[in-house]
Amino acid sequence: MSQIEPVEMIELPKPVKGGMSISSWVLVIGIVSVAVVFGIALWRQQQGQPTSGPAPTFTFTTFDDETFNLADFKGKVVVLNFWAGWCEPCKGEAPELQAAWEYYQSQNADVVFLGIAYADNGPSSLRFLNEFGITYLNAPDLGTRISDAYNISGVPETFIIDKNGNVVEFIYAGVTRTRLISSVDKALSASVGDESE
Amino acid sequence: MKPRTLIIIALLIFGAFGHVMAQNDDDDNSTETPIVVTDDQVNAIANRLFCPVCENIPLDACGTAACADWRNEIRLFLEQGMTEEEIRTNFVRRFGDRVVGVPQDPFLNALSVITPWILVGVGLLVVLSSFITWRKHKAIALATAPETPTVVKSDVQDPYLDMLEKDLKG
Amino acid sequence: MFTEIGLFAQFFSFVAALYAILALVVGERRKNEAMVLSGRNAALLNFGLLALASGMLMLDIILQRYEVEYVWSVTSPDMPLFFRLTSLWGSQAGSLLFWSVLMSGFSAGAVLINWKIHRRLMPYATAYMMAVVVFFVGISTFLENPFSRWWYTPNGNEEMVSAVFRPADTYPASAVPVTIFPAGASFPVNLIPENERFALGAVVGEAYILAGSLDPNIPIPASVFDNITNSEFVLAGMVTPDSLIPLVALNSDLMVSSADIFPRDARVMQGGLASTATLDLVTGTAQGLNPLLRHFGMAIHPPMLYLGFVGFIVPFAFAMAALASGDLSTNWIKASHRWTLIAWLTLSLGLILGGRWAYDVLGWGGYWGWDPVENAAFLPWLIGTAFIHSVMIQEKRGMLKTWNMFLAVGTFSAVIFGTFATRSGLIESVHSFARSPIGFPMFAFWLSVTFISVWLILWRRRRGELKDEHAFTNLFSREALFVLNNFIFVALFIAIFWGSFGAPIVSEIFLDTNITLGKDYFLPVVTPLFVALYILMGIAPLSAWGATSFKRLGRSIVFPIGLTVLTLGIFIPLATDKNGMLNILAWLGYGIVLFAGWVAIYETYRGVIARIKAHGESLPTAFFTLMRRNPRRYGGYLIHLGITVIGIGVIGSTVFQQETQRTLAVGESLTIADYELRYDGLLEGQISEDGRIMDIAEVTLFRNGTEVAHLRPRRDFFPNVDEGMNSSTISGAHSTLENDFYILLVSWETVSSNSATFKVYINPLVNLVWWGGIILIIGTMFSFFPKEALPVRIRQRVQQVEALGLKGVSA
Repeated sequence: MSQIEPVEMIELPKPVKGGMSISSWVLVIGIVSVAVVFGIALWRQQQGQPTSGPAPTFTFTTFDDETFNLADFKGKVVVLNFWAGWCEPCKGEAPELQAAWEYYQSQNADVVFLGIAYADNGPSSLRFLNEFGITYLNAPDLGTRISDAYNISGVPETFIIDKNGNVVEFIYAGVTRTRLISSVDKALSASVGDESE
Repeated sequence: MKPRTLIIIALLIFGAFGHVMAQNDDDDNSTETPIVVTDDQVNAIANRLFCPVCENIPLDACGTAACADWRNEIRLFLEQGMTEEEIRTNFVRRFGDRVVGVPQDPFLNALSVITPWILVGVGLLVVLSSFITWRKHKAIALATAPETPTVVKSDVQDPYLDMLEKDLKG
Repeated sequence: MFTEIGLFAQFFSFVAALYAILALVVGERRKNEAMVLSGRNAALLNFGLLALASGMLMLDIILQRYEVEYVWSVTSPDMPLFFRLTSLWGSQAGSLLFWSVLMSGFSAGAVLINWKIHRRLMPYATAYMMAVVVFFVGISTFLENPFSRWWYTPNGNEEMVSAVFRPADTYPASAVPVTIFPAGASFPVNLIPENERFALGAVVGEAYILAGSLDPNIPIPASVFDNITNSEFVLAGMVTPDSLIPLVALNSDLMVSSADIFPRDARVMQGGLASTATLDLVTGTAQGLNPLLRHFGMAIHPPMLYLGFVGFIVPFAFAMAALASGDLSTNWIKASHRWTLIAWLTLSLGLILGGRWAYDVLGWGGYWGWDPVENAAFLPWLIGTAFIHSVMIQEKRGMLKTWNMFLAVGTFSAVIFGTFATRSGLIESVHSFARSPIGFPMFAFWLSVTFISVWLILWRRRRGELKDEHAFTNLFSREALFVLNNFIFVALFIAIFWGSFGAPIVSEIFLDTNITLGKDYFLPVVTPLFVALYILMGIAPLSAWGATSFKRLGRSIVFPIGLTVLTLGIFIPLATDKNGMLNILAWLGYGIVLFAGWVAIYETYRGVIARIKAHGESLPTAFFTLMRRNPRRYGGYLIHLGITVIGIGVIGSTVFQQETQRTLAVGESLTIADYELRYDGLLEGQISEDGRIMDIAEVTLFRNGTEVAHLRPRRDFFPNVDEGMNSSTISGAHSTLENDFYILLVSWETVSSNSATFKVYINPLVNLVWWGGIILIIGTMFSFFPKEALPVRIRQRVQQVEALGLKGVSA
């Protein structure tokens, strides 16, 4: 099959070029930066919630208007629970958390329970705390910075942080008191072991 | 829960409220009558906010219980006389800049709004510089190889038809 | 059986595509015709095998083979056949296979149609298309296999595992014996192992695994069992063996922690199998298609969108083939032209249908929400549209060769990017697929496609092989206006890309802040660009190739401007808001859009008149001859007219939308504009054939006192679906020429036969958006028509003569 001859070109004088033109550079740099940014974003997005390593620290002001930093609780096991007043499963686990908290209070154990209200509005959070008679520390997550730091994908989600400030367990979805107590006990005994070393 | 807590929360949540109250004190005749807030007023504000927990759904169109709560809150704020801007600020403070369509934070705002125009400006520069280079080429091209007249004479003296015929042939 | 056939067909399509690439490239290099032909046949075989694989998956879906994990995850026994069919693309794995088969179909089409005419380009073009197909089929085969099946592990843990091939010590899920229990059968509690607080399931062999909870603190989904006493569980449904469904033991919405019983990663499976008849038992298992996707528009919208997406593989592959083979004439454009139009048509159709779906189902009163996923589909459209315009310059004037290459590559790169961004879970949205393992491979693929193509273009360019044949002579020449048009399309691309992906991700990575850009960002940025686009759309058709004299332009512009001014009078009421004020900006907006439309009409009219004068033809003859002479041009004008109509619809429905929300008692009315709405009553708890429960409000609509319609807005509830996506709000609408009366039964308020809350929109001119879409489709179809009805051989001779003639002119 014969090929149609390509149309002859008008010879234009070749512009003097020392490598790529500016627009080529703009293009290549553009692609590279898009690639780098999206590469990082993708890498981060694949991270998910921390299950080990140092727990991201944060400062929070409780609903009782006390201000703490997570680092203040070094030497104690922290149960960090993300919840919200609009979240149905949270209502199921709230009594469980409270029960576990009361159990440790009665044991005088080095355990802190900390609830973080994720994207929840004040009145509804308070209603929730009152309804379930929650007595452990609870704070709103202003600007959702804490939940961002822990990469949570929803509520409820719970992290167990050991005495050295490391995440030792991440619990997806709801918790029960037996589950909590076994996890916290493990963290407590592991920490004791650490100290004796 | 201690009553003290409730007071503090009230202050925390309705931070802007005091400000409004102060304003209303000056404006005596409006404090007497409770403000009646219609669904439409709530929706107008909710429409420009995003649901804080679901991505990219405007608060007025979001059907979850949480969103209903937030809309109710907007209503409360409105009843207390807060302006739209104050409500937006309150939401941003609590849920971050993701709840508004354009970030409130001045730096983020500038970053979001100005960047595309800068990029477009760079694009425009590229186009203009290409035009200029092309025109230069043209000058040289004309000097070396003058273009043949492109108008093909036809028997009908209609320049439009000539042009059309040429186009149709191409 | 079907699953195995599908599995092997899919695997061998992967092999065939690999072989095709190898044979085509090596054969072409060594000038080994036989090898090239075998590569070509392998590419055709690839399509055959993929079609077979999809067919098998479809059969699995139709025959309800729930042992196939994909079937289990997207369909449920209560779904009607129609939605069952559409669930082929309802979720990630299936839609990837569907995507591959469409892509391979395009390749096969291009091979069959273009092979003889574009023999020089075809081997490389086919190899490129196969390379893309290999990637997607590879993902289907190795990462997201739609034929993955459930396997039952009998030893102790009674787990179900999902795997493509049978793992050791497991049995096919379909082979597990199931005892049949009638509804109402009851079981003593002591059969439940002590440590299991909760288990959901059926009865496998001798092991009784029941649903329910022994802990009074834990609520039990009431639907699972009718009757739970302290000593007995009663089955609500019936277990039959005809179709077996592996059960998800628990899902996170039920307030029972599966983690207490099972390791987290085994959360999926526990307890063996239940059967289809026990609808309540499968709560949270065979979920069925996402309710939002159960809409007629959803049946056509994704395939259209996918067709549009994958269709752009053809121009991309031809551009790449041109670069690889060194045939850098306009052959690659000629070869891919029709394909580009098909892709563009289906993508446009997909976008319009998507808008229609959003309007009908998502219940926010609009059709475009500037959602990242919508935008991801719009981005390739923008570049593709720029490409369709820009290639004309290369065909007519031999200019912008490099640029056209970039646009062909850019369109496809945008397609891959959009696919990556929405399927990797990078962007969360109502439309997107959940987080998945394909993120990194997709990203790497996008990056390599983009880099390899850009590198090839820059390489050819530096060798001086992409030089233009003409130079720009005049800033008002048609080619210069086309360049501006391209610039604006690219600017729109940049602005929308930045708003949907750039800004949110940059601020998340570098500033640790999540932001969302919504219409507050998009409208101010995009509006001026669209205005500029419409102005260009008006002026460009009046300009001439090479150079336009201002005098001539001035003369030809007068008439359309006059028509625009005349029609603008009609638009005064349409540009008046509810307070009776004329919105000057919107009015001017109508003017600009109308101008573009009048130009399209006027240009056609001028052509007809010129023909009548010159050839003495009658009006219809002149019209049809003109159309026949250049269907692409006049089809293009028809598309412009469609875009004009859409533009008018967009201005009307965006600027002048009215809404109100009111709670009405039965018999009460609300008034908006000249409409009055009366709430007549509620049909509560209507159950449709696919198991949805509908609350239907009955309302009567009056306009200026006369009854015009009975509307039935409703709220659907899907009892078997996860919370969060188990309900949808279906609007009722009364459409007239000038506006839509659009009514929603507000979903967050309680609805009763006493009172209900309605949200009502008046969307002026919104129907023009759909009608414009139809005109656009007709226009595009029209431009498919062959220029002359001559056999290929003669056409080629004519082309040769023309080419020679052209040579003569330019020499």
